[in-house]
Amino acid sequence: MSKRILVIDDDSAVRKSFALTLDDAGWQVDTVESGEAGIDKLSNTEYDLIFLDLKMPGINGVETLIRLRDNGHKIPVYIITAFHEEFMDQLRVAADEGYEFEVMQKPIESQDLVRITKAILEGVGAY
Amino acid sequence: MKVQFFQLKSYVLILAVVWTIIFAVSLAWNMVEIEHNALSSARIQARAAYKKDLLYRRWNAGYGGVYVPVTKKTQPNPYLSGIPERDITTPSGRTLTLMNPAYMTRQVHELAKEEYGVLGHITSLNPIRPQNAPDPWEIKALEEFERGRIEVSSAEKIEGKEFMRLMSPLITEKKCLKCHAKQGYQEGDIRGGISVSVPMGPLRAIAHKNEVTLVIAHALLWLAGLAGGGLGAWRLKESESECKRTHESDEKAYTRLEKQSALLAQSEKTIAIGTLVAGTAHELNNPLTAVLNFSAHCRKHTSKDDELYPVLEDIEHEARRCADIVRNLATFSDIGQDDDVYEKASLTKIIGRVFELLSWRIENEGISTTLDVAEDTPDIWMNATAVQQLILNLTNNALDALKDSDKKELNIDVRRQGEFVRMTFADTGCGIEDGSLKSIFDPFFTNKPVGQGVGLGLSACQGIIKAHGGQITCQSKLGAGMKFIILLPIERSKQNEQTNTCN
Repeated sequence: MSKRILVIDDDSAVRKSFALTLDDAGWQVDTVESGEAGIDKLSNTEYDLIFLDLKMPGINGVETLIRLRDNGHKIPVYIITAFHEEFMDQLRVAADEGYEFEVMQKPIESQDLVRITKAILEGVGAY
Repeated sequence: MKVQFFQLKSYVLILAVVWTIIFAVSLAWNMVEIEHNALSSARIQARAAYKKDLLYRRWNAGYGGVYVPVTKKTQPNPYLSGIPERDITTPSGRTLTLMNPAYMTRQVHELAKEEYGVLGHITSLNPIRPQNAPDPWEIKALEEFERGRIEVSSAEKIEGKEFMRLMSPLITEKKCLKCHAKQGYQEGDIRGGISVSVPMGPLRAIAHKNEVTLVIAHALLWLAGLAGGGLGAWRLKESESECKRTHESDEKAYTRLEKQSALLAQSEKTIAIGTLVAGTAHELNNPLTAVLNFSAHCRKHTSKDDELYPVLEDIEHEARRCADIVRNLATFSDIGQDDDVYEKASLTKIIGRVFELLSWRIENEGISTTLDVAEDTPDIWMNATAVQQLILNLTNNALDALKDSDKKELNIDVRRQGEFVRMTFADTGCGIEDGSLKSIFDPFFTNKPVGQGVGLGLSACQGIIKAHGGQITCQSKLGAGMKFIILLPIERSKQNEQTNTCN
């Protein structure tokens, strides 16, 4: 059974391109446009990896991370960011408080996305 | 300003001329006054002498003559021989002779001549005593009296000496007829005159003294006036120059202020652009991610033989270029702000890494590189990612500049300089013209052909160096290569003012 990935990003182009790349690589991909929708999704579906955007309307990426971790989800979370200054401090605080996550910088190319995903989900050395 | 100076000069000249004329007139007038005073003093003296003559003559005539002892000097007056009792003998046997006014006047005049040098002469156009005949001046005066004048005076030379000559008529009084009736005179007739000559010498001496004083005083005052005028003009000129200097220094200050204002406006503009650029750059990352993934997906599902395959490759290539630009923009605006990423790291290692990264290009373009690192170069407090970006940008710039150069060398030198580590990037590339040097750190400044650079590389470098409290300077000449000297502090010093200079 193939692994399941959730992409939370308010930008439809990003959602679409991630879905295209990851689906093409053979993974199952769900996409949602907000943090709230992502948390809803997590309550009824098991995921193996989450790609999470930082800057979104409603609850932002950092708050989404905190909520899903607080809900007991231990799924690896990859924050894909364009390094918006305003979220960096929040993210740092979250890291200090023990919330686990990885950070990936946009723009991200399909080959990198596949390599990283493979490394996390299949334990294949990507670097 | 020159015209004004000449105006001032001519004003001063006119003033000096007017001043001189005033003094010349004053001096002349005063000299005339002195002369006039001398003459008038002499005239007063002469008049006094005449009046005294008149007085004792009247006294003498009042007695009808007085008897005086006959001496060797005072012999009986032969012109009185017709007068009874001209000579008398006192009971003791002394001989006395009658002295009439004329005789007495003559003797007094002789005495005055001896004592004071004052000459007196009793004269008439019709004298009883021939020696009393008038001289030419006296003849003229006597003629004037006949026409009604009562006094004639003037300065005249007598035997080479100057005298004030004054003459007044002698009017026939009743007492005079005792002796002069025989000449046919009647009471009230002008019988003759007494002329008095006062020597001008002593008066002239006083006048001369006064003249000298006058000349000296005038000269001093005149010079003082000229000096004052000159000084005034000089001070006017000085204050004018001072004004000019003040004006110039005001202008300079104003220019400096204007420049600073322009700089401030420029830096505000730069900050505004920075903020805008950073925001835009971040927003571009989403669509770029999408484009990169979409095109990669398409390419993956396209046969390499398909004519669309290279087109898809081009799309990816160009999208990556966009990503590079965006990264540079982001670096330009906020690199180095994050304290947590600062650490002690080795510049040499970073340079090595960059060279490795660019090794393909360096080899491919036939560029010879040297890295000279002094042994005691310490690690520095840095944001390693940012410094890597800095070195990458500088190296890329140098490689771009060397592309069309005959001599392709990039020499990097690293050594300690006090509290800093100095890193020198010197290439043998095309360099840059003087006029452009001051702009190279400006955002969006580029010398590269359109499409090969957005002009953020050096601006980003400046941002990185600024964040580290360092300094960047550059030296260049068109066609003679470019040299960047970067100073980065060894210890953290965020408060250091960053400066950039080009020469």
